[in-house]
Amino acid sequence: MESMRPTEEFRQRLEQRVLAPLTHTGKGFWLLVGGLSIVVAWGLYAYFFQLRDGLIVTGLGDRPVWGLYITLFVFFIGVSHAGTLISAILRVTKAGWRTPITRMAEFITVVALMIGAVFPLLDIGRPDRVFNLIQSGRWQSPIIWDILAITTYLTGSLIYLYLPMIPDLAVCRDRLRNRISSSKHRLYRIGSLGWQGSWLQRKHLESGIGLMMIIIIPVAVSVHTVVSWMFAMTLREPWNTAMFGIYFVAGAIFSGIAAIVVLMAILRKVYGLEEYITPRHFINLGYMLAAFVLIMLYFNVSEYLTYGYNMAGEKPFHFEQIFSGALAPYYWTYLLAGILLPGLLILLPFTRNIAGIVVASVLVNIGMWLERYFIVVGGLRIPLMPYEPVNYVPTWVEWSIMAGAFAAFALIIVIFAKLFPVIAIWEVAEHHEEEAAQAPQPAAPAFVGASSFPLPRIPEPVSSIQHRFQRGDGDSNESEGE
Amino acid sequence: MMRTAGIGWLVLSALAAIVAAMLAIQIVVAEAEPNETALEISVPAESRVGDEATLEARLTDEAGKPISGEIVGFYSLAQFAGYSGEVKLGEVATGDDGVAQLSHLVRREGEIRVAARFEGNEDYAPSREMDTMMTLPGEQIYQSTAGVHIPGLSDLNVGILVAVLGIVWFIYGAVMVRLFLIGRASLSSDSKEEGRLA
Repeated sequence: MESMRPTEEFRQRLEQRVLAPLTHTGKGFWLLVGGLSIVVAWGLYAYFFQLRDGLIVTGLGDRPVWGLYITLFVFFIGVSHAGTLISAILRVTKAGWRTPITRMAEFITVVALMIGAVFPLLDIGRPDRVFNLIQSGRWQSPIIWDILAITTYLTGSLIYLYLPMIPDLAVCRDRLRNRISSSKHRLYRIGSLGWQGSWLQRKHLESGIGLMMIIIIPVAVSVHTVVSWMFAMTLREPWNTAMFGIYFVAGAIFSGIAAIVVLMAILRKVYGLEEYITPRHFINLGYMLAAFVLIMLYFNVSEYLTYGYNMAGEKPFHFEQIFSGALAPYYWTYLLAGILLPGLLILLPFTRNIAGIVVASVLVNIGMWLERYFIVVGGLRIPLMPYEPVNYVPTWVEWSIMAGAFAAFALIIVIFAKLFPVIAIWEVAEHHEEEAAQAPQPAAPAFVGASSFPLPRIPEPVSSIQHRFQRGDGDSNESEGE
Repeated sequence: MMRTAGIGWLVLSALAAIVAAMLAIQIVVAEAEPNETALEISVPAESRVGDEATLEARLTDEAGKPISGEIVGFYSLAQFAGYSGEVKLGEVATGDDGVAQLSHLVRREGEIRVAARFEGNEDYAPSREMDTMMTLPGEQIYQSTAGVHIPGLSDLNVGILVAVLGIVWFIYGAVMVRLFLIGRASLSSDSKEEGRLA
C-alpha cells in the first residue's frame, strides 16, 4: 500500500468516520427511534383530544388566548437562527473553524422551523380554518407577515442546507454504493445532481452558495422581527414596544447557539467525532454565548429601566407580576439561571471547557423557553378591563403536545443523521488542507460572473479523489465502475 | 253623663279631623302627580349601512301640547353573545316644538328596533315609544386604523412588501437555476466523455 500524504489520510479518515453511521445501524439507534416515536405518538394522541373537543381541553380561554403553543412557536423559531448565525455569518466572515458544525447548524434551522411553524396551527384550534387566513387575510396583518416570512425562511434554509450538501451526497453515492440499499443509493444519486466536481459545476455551486449565504441573513433577521411584531403591534402594555424586534432577534441567536452546542456535544460523543469537533469549537461558541449574555443583560436593563421609569397605566401590575408576583419564579430563573449563570460558567477559566459550556447551553435554552413563556403569558394576564387577572395553567394536552414536539425535533435529527453526513466532509477536508499547507493556497479560478463575496473552495472532483484513495472494501471496483 | 258625651264629641271631632287631614293630604298628593306624556317616534323607513339616519321623537303632554327642554334618549335593541338589551344611541333635548332629533350612523343591516324614551321628572311622567327601521347593506364603514401607513407612500405599502418578497424569491429562483445548471453540466460532461471514448 503506497503511503499517502497526511491531508489525504485525514480526508480518508474523515470520510470513514462521517460515513460510518450511514451504513451501520446499531440497536441503540432503534431504541432511540422507538422511544422518541412513542413520545411523538403520545403528543398526537393528546392532539386528537384537542381536535375532537376543541381548545376547551387546554388551559386557553377568552383571556389567556395564547399559552404554551405560542411560547413554543417563538422558542423554535428562535432556535432556528442557529443555522443562519453559524453557517451564513461565519461563512461570510470566512471563519474556518465553522466547517465541522455548519451542517448541524443548518439542519437545526430547518427542523426547528418545521416544528415551530406547526404551533400557530395548533393554537387556532380549528386547523381547517387556516385557509381563511390565506383567502381573507389582509396584507396589513402581522399574522400574514409571519406566514410569508416563515415560508420564505424555511424555503431559503432548505436550499441553503441542500447546496453545500451536494458534493457530500456525491461522496455518499460513490463510496457507499455496495453498502447501502438501492433506494438510499437512489436518494444520493438524485440528490447529488450528477456531481462530478467539474469546473462548471463548481462555478454554479459557488455562485449559489454565495447568493444564499448573503440573502439568508436578512431573511432570518426579518423572520424573528416579524414574530416579535405579532406581539408588538398589539396595544398590550408590555408588548407594544419598538425594542421587541431586536430583543427577539438577539434572544433567537442566543438560543440558537446554545442549541448547536448541545447537538454538537451529543453527535460528537455518539459518532466519535472528537477529532473534528474539538474543544476549540465549544469555546468559540461559548465566547459567542458570553457576548450574547451581555447583550441580553443590556436589553433587560434597558427595557425595564425605561419601562419602569414612568409607572403609568398597567405598568405597575406588570412589574409586580414579573418581579414579585405570579410570574416571578419564571423571570428570576430566566435571569439568574438562564443568563447570569451561563455567563459565569463560560467566563470562569475552570468551567470554560466542554462540560461547562454544554451545561451553560442547556441552561440558556431552558432560560429562553421561560422568557418566551412569561412574555406570552404575562402580556395576556394584564386585565384590560376591571376583572381579576386569570392565571393560565397548561393542561396535560398542552404538556403532551410539547413533549411530542421536542421528541419530533429530536427524531427528525436522528433520522437525518442516519441518512446524511452530519459534517460537511468537503469543507472540513479543505479547511484542513489549508491549515496544513500553512501557506496561501493558489488563487481559485476567476470565474466570469462569479460572486465577489468570499466563497468556499470546492473539493476536487470526487472521481479523481476516488482514484487517489486506496480503499480495501470494494471501492476500487466502484472507481472502475465510474 | 255630660262628661261622657263630651269625651265622645271630642273623639268624634278628632276622628273627623284625622279624616279631613287625610283627605287633604290625598288631595295634595293628587294635585302633585305629574302630567302624562306621550312620545311619537319617527325613523326613516329604509336606509343603508353607512347612512346618517335622522331619528326623531316628539314629546307632548296629555293635552297634546309640545314639551320643550326635556331630554329624550334613543336606543336600539341589540343582541350579543346570548344577551339582549337596549344600546344607547344618544340623548337629545327637545326643542320648542317638543321634537328631539338625533343623527345616527347606521352600522348594521337588517331590521333595527329603535326606541325613544323620556325618563320623566316631577312635572311629567315617563313615556316610551318604539319603531322599526329597515336598513340595507351599504358601504363598509369599519376602516381599521391599524397597519403600516407611510406618509406619502400610502398607496405603496403593499407594493413595498411585495417588492421585498419578490426580490428574495427572485434570488431563490436564481439559485434554483444554478442547481439546474449543475445537473445539466453533469449531463454535458457525460456526453462529452462518451463522445471522447467513442
